[in-house]
Amino acid sequence: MTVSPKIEPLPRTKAYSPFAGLTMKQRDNVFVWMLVLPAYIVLMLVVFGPILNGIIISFTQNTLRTRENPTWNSFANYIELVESGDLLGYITVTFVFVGLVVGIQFLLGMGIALLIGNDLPGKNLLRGLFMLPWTIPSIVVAFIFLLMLQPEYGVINYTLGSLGIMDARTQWLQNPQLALPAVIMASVWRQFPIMLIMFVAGLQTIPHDTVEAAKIDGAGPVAIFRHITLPFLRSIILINVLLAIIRNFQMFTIIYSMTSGGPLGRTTTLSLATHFEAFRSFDWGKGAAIGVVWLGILVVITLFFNWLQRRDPMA
Amino acid sequence: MGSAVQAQDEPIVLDFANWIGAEESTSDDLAAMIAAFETAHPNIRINSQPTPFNQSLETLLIQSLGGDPPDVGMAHITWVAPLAEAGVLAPLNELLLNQEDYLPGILESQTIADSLVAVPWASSRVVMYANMELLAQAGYDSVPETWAEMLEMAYAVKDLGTGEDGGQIYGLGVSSGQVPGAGYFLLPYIWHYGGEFQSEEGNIVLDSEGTIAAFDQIKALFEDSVSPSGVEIRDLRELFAQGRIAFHWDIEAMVATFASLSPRAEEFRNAYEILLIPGEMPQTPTDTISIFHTLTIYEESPYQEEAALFIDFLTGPEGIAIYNANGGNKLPVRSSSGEIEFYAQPENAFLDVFIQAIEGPARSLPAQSSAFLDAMLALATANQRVALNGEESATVIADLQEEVQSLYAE
Repeated sequence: MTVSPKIEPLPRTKAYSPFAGLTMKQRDNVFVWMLVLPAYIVLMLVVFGPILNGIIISFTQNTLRTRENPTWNSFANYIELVESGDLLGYITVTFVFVGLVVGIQFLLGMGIALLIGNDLPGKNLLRGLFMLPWTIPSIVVAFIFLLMLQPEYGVINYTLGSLGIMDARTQWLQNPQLALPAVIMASVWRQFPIMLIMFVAGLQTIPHDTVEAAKIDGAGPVAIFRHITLPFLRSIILINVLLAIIRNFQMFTIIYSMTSGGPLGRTTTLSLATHFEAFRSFDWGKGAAIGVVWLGILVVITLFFNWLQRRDPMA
Repeated sequence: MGSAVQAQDEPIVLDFANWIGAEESTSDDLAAMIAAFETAHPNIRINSQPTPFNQSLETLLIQSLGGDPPDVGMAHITWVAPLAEAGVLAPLNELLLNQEDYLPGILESQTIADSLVAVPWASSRVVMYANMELLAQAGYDSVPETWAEMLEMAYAVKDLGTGEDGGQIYGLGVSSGQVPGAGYFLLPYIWHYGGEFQSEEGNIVLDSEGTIAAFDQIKALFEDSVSPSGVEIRDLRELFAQGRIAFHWDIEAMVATFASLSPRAEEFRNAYEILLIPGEMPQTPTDTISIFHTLTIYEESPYQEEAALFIDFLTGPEGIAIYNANGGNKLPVRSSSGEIEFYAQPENAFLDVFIQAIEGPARSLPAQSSAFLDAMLALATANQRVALNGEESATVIADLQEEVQSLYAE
């Protein structure tokens, strides 16, 4: 009979681990960062790299003539924009445009969502129809409104003139007082479906029994909206409004196609001003300076909304 | 840019940036020109890169400054200076073929600091289209011979009121758009009233009694509803094609455009005559503007000689004949191109008007500086201030002078 040699177990040695000493949660965090890091590096390169480059350009004299040897000119571009009054004008037009577009589409979106969010016959068809403007490219929307607002043969003037509401040859896009409302009209028409669909989705999350209980207690529609609907929709409202603000700060296609920033600069927002300085006047330094101001405003707004979000009592 | 590495027997590919390939009225002409060139030069292929006109300059600059320029680029006359200033254009003094065939002064107009930087391809003239049917309704049976007659007739046509379709009738169209083109279309008004854009020494001299008088006249045209207010050039073309404007200023190539816009199609051609913008007195020099579409070769192109062959074809008799095949009414820049059968056809007799102006009184745009485009934009904006905002001409012109001076000083 053969006796197998006794195999002694190997001595236990502690394997070296770079994560030794970390708690389980810390190890999880490290693992998550390792997964996210490649994407973060790409993001830094393709997003933050150009942003940093733009900020540097904004402090240089960089034009068609000096592009091969741009010179550092400190805050000269910013000072020139402020002293000429142009920057304040661009910021004013931008805030008015963004404020009105976001405000109007918020009211429209919320109002229609409340109407079709209920058990309304044909609500699905209505939701589909209301989404149609969002499916149309901005450039097409711009040309549709260009034709409709044409002073000599546009349908809007024809209709309003026939009803006696205004002069049948009213100037819209070349009237300094009406050009901005005209582009606001086009922008709201194009964008309110997104606001609407987010609110419709949000309304679905409100517990029915809470609403029923409120009704039993005698709460009317206004009280229900104020004390139940709005608190439940707070997060969605904040996100929706913030995204709408950012989207409209970036709005270029509709305004450029309809008015090219005119007449007399009455529709020149920060986005158009950057484009004009960089690609019409070939002054990349000044164009970048406007872009930096634009970026700064959006950062402040985003931080403000993040702060509001953190204060959400429902979170 | 055409591929720098070609297999031995592969044809050379030339990238040709243009806008006519993006326009319905000319895209077929371009395709035919390219096909004819490639047939004649089997070792060269043309890769057309069409971009809409309004984005063409930006695209050319971005491509060039980004290190990927085309081999050949089509450029409006007002774009040549900024492209040259960017240092992206190849000098054509030695490259251009058949230079002696070009009409007098044509090549000199595209020479900057002794370097020929662009070749005019087809010339255009801003002329006046006169709707004879509207003039007849207003009691006139001939075109105006003087500026004063033109204004008198314009007011008389305006007094006709509305047309059969209920649309307002206008006497003379003036664009109030905010684009450089709207600016240089105002130059005939300035020139006519004795104003100038630049002195012979190159100084900006907009602030003058002549310019103020021109702006006052334009303002009156809007206030008196002789011109539609707040419209751009494309709207004016539509209105003229609908038979609602008596006098419209535009380039000669609009004949085909009006036919496509008019409810009467080709028959609308019988409703109007074409003439040079009238001067102060009969038979005196007019204030018609001369414009060119040019062709440029890019410094970084490895196929500059092949590009020069392509340019020679496009500006030559065969290229111009194909360009005019669909009634494009392109005017020649070379003597040999001026002798093609197209210009001798009886139905094209009106082209004599334009051809007269080639060596005649038409004034070239003073576009030798890269600041010219911004200056024309400033001029268009000044027009808006006066016409749409009701500001005083003298104040606006003083601001305009200061603004354009600083643009040229930078």
